[in-house]
Amino acid sequence: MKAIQCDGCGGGVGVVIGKPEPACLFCGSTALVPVDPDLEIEHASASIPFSVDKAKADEGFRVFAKSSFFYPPAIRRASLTLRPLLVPAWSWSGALETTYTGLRRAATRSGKAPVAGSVHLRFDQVVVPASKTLSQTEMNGLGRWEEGALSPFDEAGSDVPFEIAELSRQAARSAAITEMERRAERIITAEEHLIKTLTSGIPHDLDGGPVLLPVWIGAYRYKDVSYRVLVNGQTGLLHGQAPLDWLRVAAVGLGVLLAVALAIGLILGLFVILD
Amino acid sequence: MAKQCTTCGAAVEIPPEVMATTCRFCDSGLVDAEASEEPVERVVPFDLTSKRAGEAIARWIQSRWLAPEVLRRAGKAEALRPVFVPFYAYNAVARTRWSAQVGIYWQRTETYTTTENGKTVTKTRTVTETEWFSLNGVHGRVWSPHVVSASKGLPHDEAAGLLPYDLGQGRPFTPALIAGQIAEHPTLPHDEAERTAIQTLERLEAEAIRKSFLPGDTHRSLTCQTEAELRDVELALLPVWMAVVRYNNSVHRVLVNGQTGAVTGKLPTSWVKVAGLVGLVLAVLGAVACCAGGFNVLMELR
Repeated sequence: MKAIQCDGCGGGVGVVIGKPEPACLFCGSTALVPVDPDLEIEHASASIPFSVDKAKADEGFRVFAKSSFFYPPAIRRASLTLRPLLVPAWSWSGALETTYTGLRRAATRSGKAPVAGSVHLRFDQVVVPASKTLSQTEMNGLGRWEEGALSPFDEAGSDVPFEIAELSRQAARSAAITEMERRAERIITAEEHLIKTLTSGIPHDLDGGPVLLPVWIGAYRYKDVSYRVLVNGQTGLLHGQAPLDWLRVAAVGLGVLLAVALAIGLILGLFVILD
Repeated sequence: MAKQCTTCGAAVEIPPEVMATTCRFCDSGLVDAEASEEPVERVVPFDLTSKRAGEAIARWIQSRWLAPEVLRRAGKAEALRPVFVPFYAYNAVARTRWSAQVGIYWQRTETYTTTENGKTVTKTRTVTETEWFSLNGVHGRVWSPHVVSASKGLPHDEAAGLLPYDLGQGRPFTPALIAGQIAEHPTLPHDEAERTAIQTLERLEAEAIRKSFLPGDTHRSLTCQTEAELRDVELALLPVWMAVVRYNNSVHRVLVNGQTGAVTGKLPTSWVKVAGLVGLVLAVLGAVACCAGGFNVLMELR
């Protein structure tokens, strides 16, 4: 196996010797340069197989494209080529002893009162991306993975392209802790009804390992901006962004304004008549 | 300890605290890693060239307004040399029980009377008040790496100004990494380093609670009780540029972080400048008092 890196966007793709070298999956560039795989990086020995086929992934995109009236017609009618990719990630479980302070609404002079506390939170699947391709937000957007489906990964026999992991265990661990802290803050804010939350945590029993996750990836350009659509290759959950058609947004806004004006006019007219 | 130079065969005396140095006769690197009682695990390489270290020192000296003018005008230090200084990098967990008075601001409008053009008028203004709450809790945090000097020659108080270092840039130790450079063995006993580590943790925890943990707009009477646990420790060699500034027979050490360029040290203070500053402040206060006095006299005369 060798690793190649895209000169255009920096994405790394694993290529099996003997198979044709693909264009960059992320930006379409063919300017790919071989790089030496980092020896300190642990690579996944197991992957989750694809259970969502191309037809289902494509259908998912069509539903998404039509999901909003505000998407431009070009996108609402478009069909997108989704490509399968095994994305490297680390899956972590563990607990976070979280100490926190915050402010809560109260019947005081300022309308606020301070609180402090600590809580032990367990996280059983925190997945952090091990390549620069997916952001943490995109990874979270792909939802949960059924890790029972993990099966041994044979890179030479893989007929799906896979990306090369770039994250050491240490770096993956600290990324997972950061993500756990973010989730802990959200949970505490919601459960304690806080209007401001500050947290500081101590991780316990962290356990994690590298995995390869099945993702359908498609990218399209609209007015020189590149948008990406991701489909969880196991569950079919779609995460994507689409531009808004500002003409449509403006038209609807104007329509609403007109309707309101008309209604006010009618009511005023009614009063005049009644008078 | 005498060691034979492997290049020219000369016997070179290496002081016990020195791990690596250069042969005085042929300038080749000598590394005495075996003499160390504990193995160095990590070496963070120099990112800063001697030119940039010198520039950083010059900028730093010029920013010291109270230093003697002679030094500021010269703007440079002597004997700049790179040294790998041993540091203990701890993985520490701290839990601090704290209690404090937390203040939250609130606004009220009050009416007041004043004289305007000889007439008494009533006006309103917004006054900010503070409502105080007693609050206590626990602050838990992992400090890793928590870095403490392992060198007796460089007390931690003096080294603290060099921090932080990015230990992630470090490489596993091999003698080749420090060959031809100056490196020191750790000279501070473990228990002393641990004591320093825990004392610094207490300070860091109190600062973290004050700066980024207490809720509200202000606070007072913060008390902290820290329990710190040092889990693992790693011996790391960190890059430091050392230089000296001489002034009237006294020598002042200036240190530069060989990774970030942060400068730390103590320069002598010019007493002439301090006296001048005090004089200026007194003069301003005096002038204000005179004006106020004169104004009062004028008003009374009216």
